[in-house]
Amino acid sequence: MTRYLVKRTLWALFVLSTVVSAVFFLVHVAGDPAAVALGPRANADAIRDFRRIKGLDQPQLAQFGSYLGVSPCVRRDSPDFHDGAGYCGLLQGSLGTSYTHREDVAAVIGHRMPRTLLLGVMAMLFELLFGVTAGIVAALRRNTWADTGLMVLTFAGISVPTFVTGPIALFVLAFLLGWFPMGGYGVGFWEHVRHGLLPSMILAVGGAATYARILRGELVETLRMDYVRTAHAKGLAPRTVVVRHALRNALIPIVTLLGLSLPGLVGGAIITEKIFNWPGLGMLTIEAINKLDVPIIMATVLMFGVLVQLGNLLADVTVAALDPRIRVGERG
Amino acid sequence: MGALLVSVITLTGLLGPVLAPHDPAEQFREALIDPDTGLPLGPGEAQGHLLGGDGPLGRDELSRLLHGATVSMSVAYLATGLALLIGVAIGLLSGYFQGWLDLGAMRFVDLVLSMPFLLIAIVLQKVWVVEGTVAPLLVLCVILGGLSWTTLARVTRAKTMEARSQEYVQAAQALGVSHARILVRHILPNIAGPIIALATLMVARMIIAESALSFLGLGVRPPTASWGSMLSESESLKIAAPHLLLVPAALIATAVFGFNLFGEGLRDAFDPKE
Amino acid sequence: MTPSTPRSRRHAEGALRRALPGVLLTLAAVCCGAYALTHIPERPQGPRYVGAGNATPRTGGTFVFGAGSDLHSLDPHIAYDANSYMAIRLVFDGLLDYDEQGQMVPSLASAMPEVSEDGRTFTFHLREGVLFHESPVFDGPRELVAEDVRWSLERLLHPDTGSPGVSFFARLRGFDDFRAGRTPHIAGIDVRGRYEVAFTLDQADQTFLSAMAMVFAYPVPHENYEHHIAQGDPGAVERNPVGTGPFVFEAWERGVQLTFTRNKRYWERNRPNPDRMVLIEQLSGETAVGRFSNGDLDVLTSLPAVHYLFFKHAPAWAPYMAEEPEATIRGLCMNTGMAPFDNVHVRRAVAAAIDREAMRVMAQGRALPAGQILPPMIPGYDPGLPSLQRYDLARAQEEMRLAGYPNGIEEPVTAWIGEGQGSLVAAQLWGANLERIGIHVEYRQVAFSVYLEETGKPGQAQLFPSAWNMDFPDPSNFLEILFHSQNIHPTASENRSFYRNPELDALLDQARGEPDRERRLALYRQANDIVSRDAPWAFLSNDLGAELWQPYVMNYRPHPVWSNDYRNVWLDLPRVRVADSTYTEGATP
Repeated sequence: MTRYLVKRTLWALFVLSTVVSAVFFLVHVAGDPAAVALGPRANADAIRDFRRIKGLDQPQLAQFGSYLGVSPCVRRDSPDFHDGAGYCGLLQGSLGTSYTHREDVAAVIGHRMPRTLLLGVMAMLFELLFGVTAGIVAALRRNTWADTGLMVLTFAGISVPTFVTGPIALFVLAFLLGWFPMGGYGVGFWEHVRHGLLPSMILAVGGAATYARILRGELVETLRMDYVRTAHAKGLAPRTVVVRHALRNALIPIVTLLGLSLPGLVGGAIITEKIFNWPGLGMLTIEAINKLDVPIIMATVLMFGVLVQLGNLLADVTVAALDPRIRVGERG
Repeated sequence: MGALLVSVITLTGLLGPVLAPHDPAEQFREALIDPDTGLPLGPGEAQGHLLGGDGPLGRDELSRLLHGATVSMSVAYLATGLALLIGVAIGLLSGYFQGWLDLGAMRFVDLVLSMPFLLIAIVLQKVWVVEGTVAPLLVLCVILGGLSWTTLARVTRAKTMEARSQEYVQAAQALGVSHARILVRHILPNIAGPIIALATLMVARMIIAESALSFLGLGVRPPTASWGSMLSESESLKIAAPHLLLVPAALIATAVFGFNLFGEGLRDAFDPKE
Repeated sequence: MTPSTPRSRRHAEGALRRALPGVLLTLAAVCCGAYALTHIPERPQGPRYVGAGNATPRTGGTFVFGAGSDLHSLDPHIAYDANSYMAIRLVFDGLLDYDEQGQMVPSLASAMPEVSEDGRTFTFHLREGVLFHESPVFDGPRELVAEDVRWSLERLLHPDTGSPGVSFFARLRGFDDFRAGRTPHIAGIDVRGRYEVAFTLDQADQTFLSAMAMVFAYPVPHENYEHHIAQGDPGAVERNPVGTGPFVFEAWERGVQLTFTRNKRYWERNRPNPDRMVLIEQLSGETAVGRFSNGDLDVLTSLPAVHYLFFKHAPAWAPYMAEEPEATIRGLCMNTGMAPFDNVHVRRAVAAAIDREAMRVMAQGRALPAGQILPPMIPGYDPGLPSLQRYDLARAQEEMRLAGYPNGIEEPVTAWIGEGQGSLVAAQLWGANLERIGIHVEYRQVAFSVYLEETGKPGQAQLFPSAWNMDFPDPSNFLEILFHSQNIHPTASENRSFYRNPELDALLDQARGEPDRERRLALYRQANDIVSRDAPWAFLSNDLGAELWQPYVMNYRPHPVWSNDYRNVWLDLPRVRVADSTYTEGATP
């Protein structure tokens, strides 16, 4: 098991470093960050200053080395820049300074992360709430109109993307009916929650639909199993049987999926955040890409990569721990 | 039902340009724009234009929807085709030969999955479109297809491994049939079912992805229309002309719905479990 | 292996049976949704709240306004965008400012500066007793002195600051030596006493005072910078501004909002102002309109088309809405170094081929047709310009014939369009116009970053929409920056049409130093005429800005120079809820 873990971790690190270097060089193909950061009004003097301060006048390889922290710092605005002797890169724990936010990248992400997490957690709760309820109802009322209706709804939920539901929901529920705030984030925790209701519900539609379908399938299968039949035969009420026995088993795949869905929620939040003006990581990513804010782009890529790798690792380990066959296979 | 929807939508895609009453890029500003407000006339308000204008440029909405169907469908189908090509090839090879090839291929899949899709899409768009050497629609297909073949590769690999241990393959191997022949003649036909089902589901995902990219302004180039770009173009007009938002939205939803339904149906049909 | 036919048919039937009600349900839902959208409840036709009716200006209350995107920096030396200026202009003052008519007036300076005979030395006297805001970076009350003005300007111009505003001060004596690190100070800045500072230029420059009125030149206290450097976070100064202005910076929740409190020690005594100002970031489009309609936002500056039409036609809103032309010129920039636009006749043909009236209609009237570089409120603007560009299809065709293309140009022209839905829609409009004179346009929509970079390089982009918004109300800020050949560089050119005309260069150089205002404006009118005639740009439109404010917001009118300037606002509180805000035609609250 330990060897497996080490191997997996090494591989994850390799993937991460490949992604990071690929993105670093790709981003510089997309345009000149100096011209973008300073905007259309900037003159040649200002752009020259900016390039020198940010080290963009150095060769690409030197910039990359400096970014990683294996070669001396080229950014003159870094406190670690000492006439070519200091280091200011990833290895030293520095993500650099954002071009547009003009603040330490870690701090910028520190502002944004809790917002996206809040949205993600709320969306997860909604997914569970709607998904599990719909799944149970559909399974209990199998092959009735309620089941059909719910399954069709969930099918529609999977089929209709957030950039369709989002603007329509915002327009109808918030603008016309005034039930929800018109996007934004608000000030104070409960305001954040209030502002997050609609976007998290929209974000949850797809997940809830998926969970409902999976749960229904699992429940239907579990209900056919012997031990459930036995419980029935013992005269337990159907509801008790479902809740006590069937649900517990059927929930396992859902819980696994939930764990795996975290990076998806963060990634999927990009469009939702854009629609609802939610100032989280998704918006940050879009803005950074549009404005070629290289340090922020790199940081978001890195973070997303870590999340995906962690998710994969967790999934593999969980599956390995749960499923004895895999453990045997691994030994062989 | 799903099959019906899929064929109707695909037919629309094929026949869209023939059915369209007007050139989708032609501007009918006199006929379709209200000179006081600069807003387009709605459905039934202008003669000869069934669904009215599409926005401030006054193009025929119906024609754009029909042409948009062609664009959306061809992008979705082409991208899926590309993904099929890459995914099935890699899956077949790695599942059949296993060993280091398999290891390398699956690691490669891992790597592609870790790439930030949106960022890569944006950068590739920029590089290629700026260079101007590749047709933008093709770029879109390549981006979508090139970054989404991973699931197909995994499923194909699993199915190939399953098939490889079957008697008929081992018999063929014993008879000295070449690897290529075994792969193409014996394994592929036997695993085609689930792959086709998955590909159908993928068309649905591609429709969404194309619309999403167009919604973010990274999709088709104007004056070409796709349902996604029409959706994003009409966002600002949704209060005055909600139909401009709702119709492409409904079309996208219906198309995705149809392909999903069809794909699930296929999957159930090919799945021997039930 | 393959499923048997009867089973698959049974399956298909099952699927059909299962799916049919679902599809019907979805269709019904879509229809219901569409129905609900087309039968929306009537929207209130007027303001939801009105003022209390105080006759005399009063202090107090909270004023809430919004910015369409994030703010970048609160450091006057770094910020160079209208959004950041909204906040900076609350916290800081300049030596000079503009009044409500757009006239330059003294602010921190006690009077307009004395200008020497040769026009090269400007002597400023500071207002005495002006205090910086209370801040832990100071030991006690801290007065603004002439030394602060010098320190601020030297920090602005230092190469390690990386300010985008450096070039406006390039004529200061000793500028180059200081920038190259040869001298620790700028020779042309002379502190002559606690409240007196003089600036000497190498060459006479009539735009120097305009530069001194820019936000870049606002004095800042050096203690604030030294404090954050000592803390090891020099960048923090951009998030913790300390100035002399009417409002004290309180807090900034990044990406969400900024708050300010009234400066009780402000040098202009007894100023009626709100106690608090709240600036909400990322507030635009429908979100802003929704909040404004509910009374949660006190001013509305960016109006989506449909809402603009709504407010424009709502009589109850008329007293609280202003539409004023902005100092922005939009046009089509042609690369005069590349075929076919190296041919002046082709450029003139383009300038005459574009139907500006159609563009006005498309923008709901918010794009005022233009035919010259200078917007109407800029001195030197000439409605009777002999070479004024205007839509004239016959003339355009004639110019195409003169250019040697009577049947149009075979090779398509590539138009570079920066990101943004609006510019693309407009591009398709002028693209269709050019089609009529035989110029076929292919669009290359690129990220704004790519657009900026590529259009700044000679020989790269043939044709692209471009816009310019003034830094200060002076014709040099348009003509010199956009068309002087000194602004052509291998990359990042300001002169993006790469237009070279020694005659124009000489005129502009002469005008910049000309002390006599009338003679100076005459030179600019001449330059204006040359640029219209040679048509490196097809000048298309000036923006018409539309703004609304709540009835209880007093003493606010759009400022001719600063956009969204709320320094002088006061609130007529407590506000009163209008019982029935669905007004009838013509009624006002």
